[in-house]
Amino acid sequence: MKPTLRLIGTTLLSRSRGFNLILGNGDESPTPMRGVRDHPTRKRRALPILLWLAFLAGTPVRAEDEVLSAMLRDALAASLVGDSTRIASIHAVLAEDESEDAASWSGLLDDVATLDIVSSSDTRQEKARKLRNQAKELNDPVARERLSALADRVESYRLDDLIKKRRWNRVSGVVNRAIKTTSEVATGQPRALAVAGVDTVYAVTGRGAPTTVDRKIAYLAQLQELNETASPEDLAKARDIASKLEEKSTRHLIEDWKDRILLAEEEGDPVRAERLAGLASEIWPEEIWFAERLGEIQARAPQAQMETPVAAAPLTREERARIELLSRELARPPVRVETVSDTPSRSLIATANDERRSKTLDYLIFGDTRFETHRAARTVAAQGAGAPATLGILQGFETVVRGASLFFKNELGAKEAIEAYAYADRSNPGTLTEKDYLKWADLCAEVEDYAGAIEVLESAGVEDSRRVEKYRSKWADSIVKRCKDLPPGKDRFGALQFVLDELKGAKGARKAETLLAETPSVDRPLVLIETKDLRDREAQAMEAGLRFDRGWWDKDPANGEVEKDQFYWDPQGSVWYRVEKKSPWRCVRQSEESLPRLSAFFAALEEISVARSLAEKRRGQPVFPIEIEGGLGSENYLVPKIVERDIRSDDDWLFE
Amino acid sequence: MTGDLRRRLIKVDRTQPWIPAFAGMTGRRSGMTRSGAGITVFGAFLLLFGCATTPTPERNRPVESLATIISEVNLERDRDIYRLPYPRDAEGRNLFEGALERLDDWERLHPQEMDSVVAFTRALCHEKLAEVEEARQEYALVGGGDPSLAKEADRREKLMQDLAHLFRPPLDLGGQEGAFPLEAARSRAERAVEKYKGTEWEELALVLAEKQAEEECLRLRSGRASSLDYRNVLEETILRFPDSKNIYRHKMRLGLYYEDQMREWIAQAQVTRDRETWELARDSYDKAARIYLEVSRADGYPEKREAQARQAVLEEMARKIDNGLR
Repeated sequence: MKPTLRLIGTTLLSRSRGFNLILGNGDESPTPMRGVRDHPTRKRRALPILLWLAFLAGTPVRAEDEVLSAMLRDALAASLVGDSTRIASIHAVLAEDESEDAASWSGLLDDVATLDIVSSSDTRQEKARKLRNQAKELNDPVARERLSALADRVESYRLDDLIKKRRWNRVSGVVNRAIKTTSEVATGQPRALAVAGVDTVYAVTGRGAPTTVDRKIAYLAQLQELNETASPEDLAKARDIASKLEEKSTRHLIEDWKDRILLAEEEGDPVRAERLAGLASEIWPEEIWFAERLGEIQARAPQAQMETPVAAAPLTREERARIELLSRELARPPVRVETVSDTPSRSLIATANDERRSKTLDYLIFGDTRFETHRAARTVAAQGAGAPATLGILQGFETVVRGASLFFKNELGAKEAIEAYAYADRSNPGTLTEKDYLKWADLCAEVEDYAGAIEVLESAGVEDSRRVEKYRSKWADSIVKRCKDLPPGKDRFGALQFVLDELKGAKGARKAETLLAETPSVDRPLVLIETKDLRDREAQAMEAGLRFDRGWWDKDPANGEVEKDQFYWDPQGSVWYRVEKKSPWRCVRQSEESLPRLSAFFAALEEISVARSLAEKRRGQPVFPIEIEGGLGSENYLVPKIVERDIRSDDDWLFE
Repeated sequence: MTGDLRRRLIKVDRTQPWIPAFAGMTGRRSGMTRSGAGITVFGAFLLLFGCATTPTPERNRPVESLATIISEVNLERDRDIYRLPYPRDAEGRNLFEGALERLDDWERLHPQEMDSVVAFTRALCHEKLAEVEEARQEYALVGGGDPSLAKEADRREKLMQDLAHLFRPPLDLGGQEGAFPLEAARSRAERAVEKYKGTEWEELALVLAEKQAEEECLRLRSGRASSLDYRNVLEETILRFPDSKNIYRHKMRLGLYYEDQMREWIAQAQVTRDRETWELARDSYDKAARIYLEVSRADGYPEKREAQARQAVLEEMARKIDNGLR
């Protein structure tokens, strides 16, 4: 049996050197406590403990703090060397001490428990699950939010969680659908049954493309595959999910590719069709459709060449303009040749404007989405013989909505038209009329390029003060609108200052002035701090060397408080505050020596703000599992609904 | 008192073998006197219902913050940094980079406190970020306060030193490695991967080898090496590190290589109007298209979006080839 009791001199009498009593043996491996009672050196080793306890009796409060500090240092060191047994012991002892003597509560037991969890030999998934539960117990809001967010990101835990949520959403979707259908049938709408049938067919046959959540699950499953520490069960489950989704996703891609080949053929572009079919048959050799199609296209190719020796490639805008010019030139008498030098430019403009009109019309009638078979099928199920009329009404309604949106803003084809005007002006100066310049400027304004619009008019010497004023006003409004969501800093300050300096007189300038006054006028990013956080860490702030009159943030209205109980920290070394909404911002410059510590201190306060916003986001999620859906208007139903789980995350864009 | 301590040790021994001697010494009054059952129940009640919402006393908050940073790092320290993407913290930053920043801040606020623990944590972060020299320096700073920590730091420092030596830049030793320093560096990297296979540092060795291969690719691209050499090294990198989290980054580079090549063939074909050149362009297109198609399906990888965008560009370029081949 190895020795079990030892004294490791470290940090008690002073911060650098002193007592740190730890039970253990002399070597690196922990020794079971069974040896404590039997070891012959026990009495000799107990002497330092007695001395130690005598020391404690002399300076009770300080010693207790120091013991706690040494204990935590030991816990942190143990967790870093991966000694889970040692940290579990410290946790157990600390818990016992605190349960026996409530006055010894240090607020750190929860943190040691967290260290205990992360240092244990559990799987990552299990650790994440325990950490998620433990986070609720943490009394430090920063630790609580950071650790629960981290636990949520552990892939194996996330995979399991997503699978459960998806299953929940599927089941609740079916239940909600059934309740809604029953309710509709009960209120005299029997066709709701047919609609539900269509939905079921689409759901069961899995005709829809893989959703973001499906893709996310497949990705997480793939990571499980790569992670050799995953259990065989998890691995098998992950493989199953990934392979199913891979199959579905490939099926959709193949169908899409087939559509592209058929479209190329329909458009009379056999070379493109051949290229796509050739590539697809190499990528998916098992799909014989591609090989067969390729054979057919190649077989038809010589014949097609004979029929049309020069295949009709789609013409570019410039080519079309040149051909038009050529045909006009041939048709015109020679005397007019010298005056047609500007025609290509005009023709380009006309083409661009035609395309813009055509795009607008297409959008107005058909919208920007394809015909949705699912929606049509549902409408047919719901309306029966009346479906065409209903679809027509729906289409008509959407056209009106789209028309209304185009009335306010129409960017369709605007950029191409602007390019055409610019090309014309560049290649044939003097070609454009005043009306053209006005049209060109309006197009720039449509795409919110107000600077460009004003420049077009100014450079052409077109005087239209009312129009310029309108552009300036819209320009100011658009800048102010964007600045509302910007945090204080260089971009916000610069943009608002520009409105004040350059767009004076515009309506937006007044708003810009108001917005500018809301934050200190500095062109650097600032950190918003709440005074309550400063009060909570007052000693630390003073120790860091903060120069900021306590009277402004001591929560005593008698001596004045800063506005909204907030102020700004400028990382370059200043505190910005104001006492009222209309009073000027005041700056308190901090000393250079204390700047590094103050930066660190305010970084810690910023972490608290982040934790607060994370907590608010978390609290925003529904707690009650039932909500009421519907209304007693046109829909004519009012049913309870099971709340679906939120499966969105900030990395959804990686799966779209 | 000694008897009481022994009793406590024996009592806890039933659950845990490693017991701190200061057990029972943290009480405000005297932790060494045994409290009655009533007080225990009351204390437990307070712990359960009272303390959860009570903020930690200000004097203990520094340790609390440090414990949070260490917990975060510890949770992810076993992560396979070669195959899996870097973990993100609550703010969406690379967890290890964020932890380094937070440790800097913590140290500024509490200089000379827990310095060994801070240095060790910092070293772990550098290790996970594959910055072996920085990790070595931090491990060297770990003092002897905690013998087990010091011993572990010493062991890791030596390992980092070995890795830093094995993965030293190819031209560091000048003439000592003969006329082929790049080949010598590569062979050292392969030796290192083999040496650390099956150990805790297997992934680190792979990451370092991959990093070296990537540097070689970039050197060839920006240097005067032939494009063929560049392509060969790219393809070799893809084959050497098939399970890497960066595999799609390497593949995108190869895709871009073929796209560039396609553009050059197109430019040439537009002048020569030679069918053979158009076919060469088509061949490059095929290769780039296949790579982009694969990467565009790589859910969860940032390269996916880039590949989707390149596919659209490639399709426009392909129309030129189609026209040329008509």
